[in-house]
Amino acid sequence: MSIKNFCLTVSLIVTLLFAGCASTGMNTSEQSLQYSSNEAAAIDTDKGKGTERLENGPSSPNTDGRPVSDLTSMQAPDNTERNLPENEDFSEFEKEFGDVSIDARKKEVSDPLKGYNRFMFNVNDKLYFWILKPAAIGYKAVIPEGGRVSLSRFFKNLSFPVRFVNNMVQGKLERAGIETARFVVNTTIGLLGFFDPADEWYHFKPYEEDFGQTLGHYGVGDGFPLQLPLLGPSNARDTVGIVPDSFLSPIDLLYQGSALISPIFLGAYILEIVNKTSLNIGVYENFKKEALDPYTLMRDSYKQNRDARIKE
Amino acid sequence: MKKIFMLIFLLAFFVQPALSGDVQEVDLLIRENVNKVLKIVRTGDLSRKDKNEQVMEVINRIFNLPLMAKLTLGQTHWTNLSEKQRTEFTDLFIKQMQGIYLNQLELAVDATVTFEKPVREGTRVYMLTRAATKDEPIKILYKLYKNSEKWRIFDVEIQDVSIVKSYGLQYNQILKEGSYADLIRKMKEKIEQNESTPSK
Repeated sequence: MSIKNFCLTVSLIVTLLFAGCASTGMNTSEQSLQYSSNEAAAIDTDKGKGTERLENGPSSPNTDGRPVSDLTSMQAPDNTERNLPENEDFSEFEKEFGDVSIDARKKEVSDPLKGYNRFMFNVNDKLYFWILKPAAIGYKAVIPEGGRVSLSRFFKNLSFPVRFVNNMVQGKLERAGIETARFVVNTTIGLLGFFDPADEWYHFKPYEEDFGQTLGHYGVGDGFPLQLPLLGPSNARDTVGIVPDSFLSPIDLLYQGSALISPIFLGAYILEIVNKTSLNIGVYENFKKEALDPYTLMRDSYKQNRDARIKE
Repeated sequence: MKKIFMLIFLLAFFVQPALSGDVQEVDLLIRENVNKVLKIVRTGDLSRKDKNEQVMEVINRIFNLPLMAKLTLGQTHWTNLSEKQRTEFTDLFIKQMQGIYLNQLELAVDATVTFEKPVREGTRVYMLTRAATKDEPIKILYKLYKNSEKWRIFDVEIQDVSIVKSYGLQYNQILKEGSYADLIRKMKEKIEQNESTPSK
């Protein structure tokens, strides 16, 4: 049992605990949908009529006394073409985006553990700002950037078996071959993977694959979104996928068979995470800063990213 | 009959260069402007405000932001807004997108950007770029659509995550749980908050 499996178990227990709370709150969102299907169907005929069907509540933007222009020095472009020509109507982009509101209505049903997920999202958020980020900043001050980049490559090289096996299982033999070449070159010439000559000299790029993607490749749906403690956004399918992958990861194997948490394993694991964080300080902060609803954005970004990777 | 053959022949002859011309146009547009933006950001003796203004000018030129606003909100919601509300929403959306762009740019100051050849699919041209950061490279896909003789960006995918899609889902979530006024209030709050705390 590795720490990932441990997290998994904990998350499943907490999930079960919260499942009750979440399912009671689930039905309410569906009721608040105001648009009937008739209205949705009438869209094509209703262009620019400017009907005021949406209600302006008491906190209407017109009455809250803060004109938009005072909020910011950034000015909207002068050449704003608000009356878009006909050919740029929604029908043109239907294939890409469909109707977000209708898509989301279907999608909404598929987050049954929303209550738990939001809770765990906040826990991870606090863990990041209270523990991980301060640790990474301290570490960053001690280890020069070059060293941290090399260490990140070293860890990545170590997880070669995960990528190799999953590429093979999906029948992506060429990619598996490139991964093998990368591993051989980087482990030898690249001094145990601290350097990446395979990419720099031969332009061999890594092909990220994991068991979650393998399951997806063979048609397994993602189930439902799931926020894992420490590990962040995931879904039912990818969470299951962590288990087989952990048997292929040398770092996780350091832990196999020992009853107590072995200090070497724990050290390696923490080092990997802190090192990774130190190279990405600001990314999560920006993400949060930009999001109107960070949980929703995280959940949907994860899904879009995974769906695209499975299709690759 | 001869004329028709001639016409077909000529069409076949001219259509191909026309297509690659579009691809070339997009290639040039994205390369030029991305490099321009990076140059602005890296200029040491410019004040933050000047930098932002110059970057904004580029953004407004290459992005079709009003179209993005419309697509992001989605057909159902958009149809339900009055003309005034649409204008209000579009203005806020544009400010939000500009804020996001400036934010992301700060992480890309020392990134090397590589460009891949654009691909044409129907009425769209997609151009993939990669920003090599300290850690893993970041995939940025620009999606362009021709509007009044000019290719403009209608969506950007960062690591396969579409801006239009993911913001659309957030807006939808807010509209589902509250009203249009709530959405506008939240957008204003976010813009205000981001301007008062510029990231390092």
